[in-house]
Amino acid sequence: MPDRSAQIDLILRQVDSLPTLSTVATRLLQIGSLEDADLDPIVEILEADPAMTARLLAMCRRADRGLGDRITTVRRAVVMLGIEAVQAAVLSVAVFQAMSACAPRTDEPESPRDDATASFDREGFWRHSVATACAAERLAESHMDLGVRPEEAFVAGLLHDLGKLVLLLVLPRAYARVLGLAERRQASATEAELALLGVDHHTAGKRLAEHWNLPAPLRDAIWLHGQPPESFADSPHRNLVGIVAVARALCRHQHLGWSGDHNHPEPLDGPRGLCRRFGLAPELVTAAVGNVHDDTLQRCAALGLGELTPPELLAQALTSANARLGRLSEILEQRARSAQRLGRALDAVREFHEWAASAADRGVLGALAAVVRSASATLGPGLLGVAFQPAPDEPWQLLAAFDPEGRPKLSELLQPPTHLASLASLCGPAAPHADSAQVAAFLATRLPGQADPSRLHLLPITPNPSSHDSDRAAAVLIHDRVAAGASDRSILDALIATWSAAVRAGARHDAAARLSERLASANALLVEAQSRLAQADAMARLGVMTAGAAHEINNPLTVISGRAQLLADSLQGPEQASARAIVEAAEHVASLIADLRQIAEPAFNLAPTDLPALVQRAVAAAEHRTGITGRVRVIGPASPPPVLLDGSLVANALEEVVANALQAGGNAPVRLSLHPPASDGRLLFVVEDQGAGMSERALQHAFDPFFSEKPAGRRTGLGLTRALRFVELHQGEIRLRSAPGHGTTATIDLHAPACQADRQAA
Amino acid sequence: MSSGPENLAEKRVFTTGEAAAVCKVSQQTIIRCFDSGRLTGFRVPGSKFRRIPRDELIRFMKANNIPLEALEGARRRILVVDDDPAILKLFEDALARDNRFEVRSATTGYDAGMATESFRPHLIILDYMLPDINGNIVCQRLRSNPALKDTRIIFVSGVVDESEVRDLLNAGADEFIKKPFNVQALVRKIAELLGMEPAPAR
Repeated sequence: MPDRSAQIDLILRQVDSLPTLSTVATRLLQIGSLEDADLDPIVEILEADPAMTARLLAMCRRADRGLGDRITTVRRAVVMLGIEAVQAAVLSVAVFQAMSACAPRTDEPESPRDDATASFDREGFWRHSVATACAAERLAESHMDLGVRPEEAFVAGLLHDLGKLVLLLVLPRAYARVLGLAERRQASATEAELALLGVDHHTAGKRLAEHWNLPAPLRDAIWLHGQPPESFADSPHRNLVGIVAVARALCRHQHLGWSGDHNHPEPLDGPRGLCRRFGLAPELVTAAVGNVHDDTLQRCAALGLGELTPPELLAQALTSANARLGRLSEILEQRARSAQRLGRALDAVREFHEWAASAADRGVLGALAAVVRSASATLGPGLLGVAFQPAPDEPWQLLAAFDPEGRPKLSELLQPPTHLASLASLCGPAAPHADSAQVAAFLATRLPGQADPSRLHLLPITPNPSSHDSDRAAAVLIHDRVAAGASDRSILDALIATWSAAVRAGARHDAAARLSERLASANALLVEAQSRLAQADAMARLGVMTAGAAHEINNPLTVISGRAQLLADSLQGPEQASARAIVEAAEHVASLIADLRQIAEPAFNLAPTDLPALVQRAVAAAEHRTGITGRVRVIGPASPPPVLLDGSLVANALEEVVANALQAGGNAPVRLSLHPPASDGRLLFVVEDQGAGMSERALQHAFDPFFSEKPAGRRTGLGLTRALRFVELHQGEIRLRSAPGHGTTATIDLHAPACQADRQAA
Repeated sequence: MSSGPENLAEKRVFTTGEAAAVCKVSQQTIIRCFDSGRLTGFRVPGSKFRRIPRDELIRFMKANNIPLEALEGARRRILVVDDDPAILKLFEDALARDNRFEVRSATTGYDAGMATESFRPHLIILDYMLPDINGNIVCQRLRSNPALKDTRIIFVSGVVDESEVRDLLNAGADEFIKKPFNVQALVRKIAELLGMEPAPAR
């Protein structure tokens, strides 16, 4: 739209190009209301125009004044009616002539929107103007106290809507649209003019009044008659304007002529309220307008505006009123229909929201199920499905065959052929029909039953996916209904907007859930890494500490042990035994320190290892340590392939577990079953005893350093700690299953890289 | 034990008779070897008496696989190096129980080097962690001296690290013994390394 102010200026300048008034009227207006004016020149001027003279005389005749036939010449009219009356009559005739003769401009640029126009009823317009003029004249006569001359009131009434004619002449096409808009919206012409043109007929009329040098009271009546009285309370012509406004309202109420306005003119109490606001007495107004019909007919005739009999005028008014009524009821009906449609759409949306809310925790799949349920309720029974793509280049999720609870019996991830358009592009603006048909054909092959691709419709439910990360999701509804009617279409449009929001919210919900899952697993990894780091750190410290301790403690221990040995060699009897006990204790301390060193910094060397030999070594060591022999039953394959591991560490761990089993008590054999690595690469040693079993507390602390439930004085509790450490070096674990009185099953579970051992062995 | 061999063991220069006693061969054999140049020496100025320096005699004996026992005496010299005086005392007492060993001690790597020059030990017991120098360095220095290539080295340490032990043995150590140790086992190991009878004749 071009600059509004420039457009307005252009319109008003074109007003100035309109034809001027006839010389007669101009001269007459110049003479003004001089009481002592010489009548002769005026009469001469008027009589020089016979057509004008005839109309003037007709205008001056008014039966009720009793002058009637006596006004037969211009001079007589001037003498009897006064110069002002004649002036008014001349002006009326002149303006009417000027405007009637003027053809609308034809060089107005073609408008792109030629729909919704309405035509300008010229005759109706003039009839309305004349009726208003007559009413104003009567009002002025009945309210002499207002100081408005009836003739002036007549002219003002006649010309009050001059601006409409001006706009029509200047912009015929645009003004037809203005009239159409006013009719559609049931609005006043002023509203439509301001909306479409930016300038209303009041302003246009004022401009023409100035162009024609019309007297100021007339100009104000043209300009201000649509304004509330309060806004021009200071104007010297406010009474004239008020009379015109009331007269106009009366005529609209009586449906006299055509005004181009469609708004309900005044408040419900009608012109009465308006009368009061303009200082007019309602009862006088009512009395004054009783003759408006007759006056109007007569004046119309005088102006050559078609001959109508009183019944005809009434009939015309009635028709106009009926037409208006019909139009109103038609509009009401339309509104009722659209309200009904809106109601259905709102119901459908509300229903959808309930379903979507109940499935909110199911993310996008829940939203899609709600969409299908909603679509089923709107479109009726038939095939329904939905295809969803979280983002371009991702597989499609096809949901179909929904049960009454809205759960799909078919839920499939599809990898569409690469030549197919993405769902997002189908949802985009103006997707080619060919793409849609190809996608339909592809989906038909995946849907249950024999879906006919030519009858499948794909309805995008996430229009215009954005490139924004969380809104790239695209979904189309698959259905086989015939094209929906306009009313269903509008409900669908409303629903699609809602569906789209729900599906996108679901997609965002899923994305958020995925993110939080990733965050959680990252956190878990972090915690694990931290604990490993802490463990490694603890081990490193333990390593440094035990190395220092080994050096610092072992020196004095060497002296204790060595001296005790020397003593033992030189003593005899109980003293020698004491000395030997010192030696043993020192050796025990030394072995504890060695164990700690091994736990902290074990030497880890992988080598292909023969498992039966390893088991044999461990069992022998355990038997030697515990002094319990012959109770271990080894079960397992005779010659499994060698496995890559640190044989001495694993044997050490196994020895510990077997020794514990032997020391658990009871006489039942200890079963040691060897499970060489199968396809999963896991190597198991299972050691079962029928001994005393372990308490809950013992199980909990089994791997803690120096924890032991064995009677005091037996081997310390570093054994399982060290065993676990060795097993963990092989990415393994030790599991204990036990209950007091029911024996213990210990499982050493190693992730041994057996295949490498195979290769090395090969 | 007679004083003869002990005197011989202390001598720097030998007559052909003494050399024959040390090598447990006849004097004529020594003279023949001397005259043929297989055993070098010198004649006393102004006479024809043959004299053989100790180092040359040892070289000759080794070249002919003659045991050095007589030359070096029955008591084997052992140098113990440790920064802990209590440990040194323990070694001294433990090794002094049979009369076969003469023990000296040093507390630093520097002292150990000095003592090795003067004392010429048959065997050195080295603590791995000395205050001024690490055992493997001491070991390398000893091994780089050809005169000491027959000196046996036993390392002792309270800290067992397999790779370190491997490195020590590679550096030329003969044995590694962990503290605390079994005294009898230690003595057996020393005797074995020095080619002696496992236990002293009591």
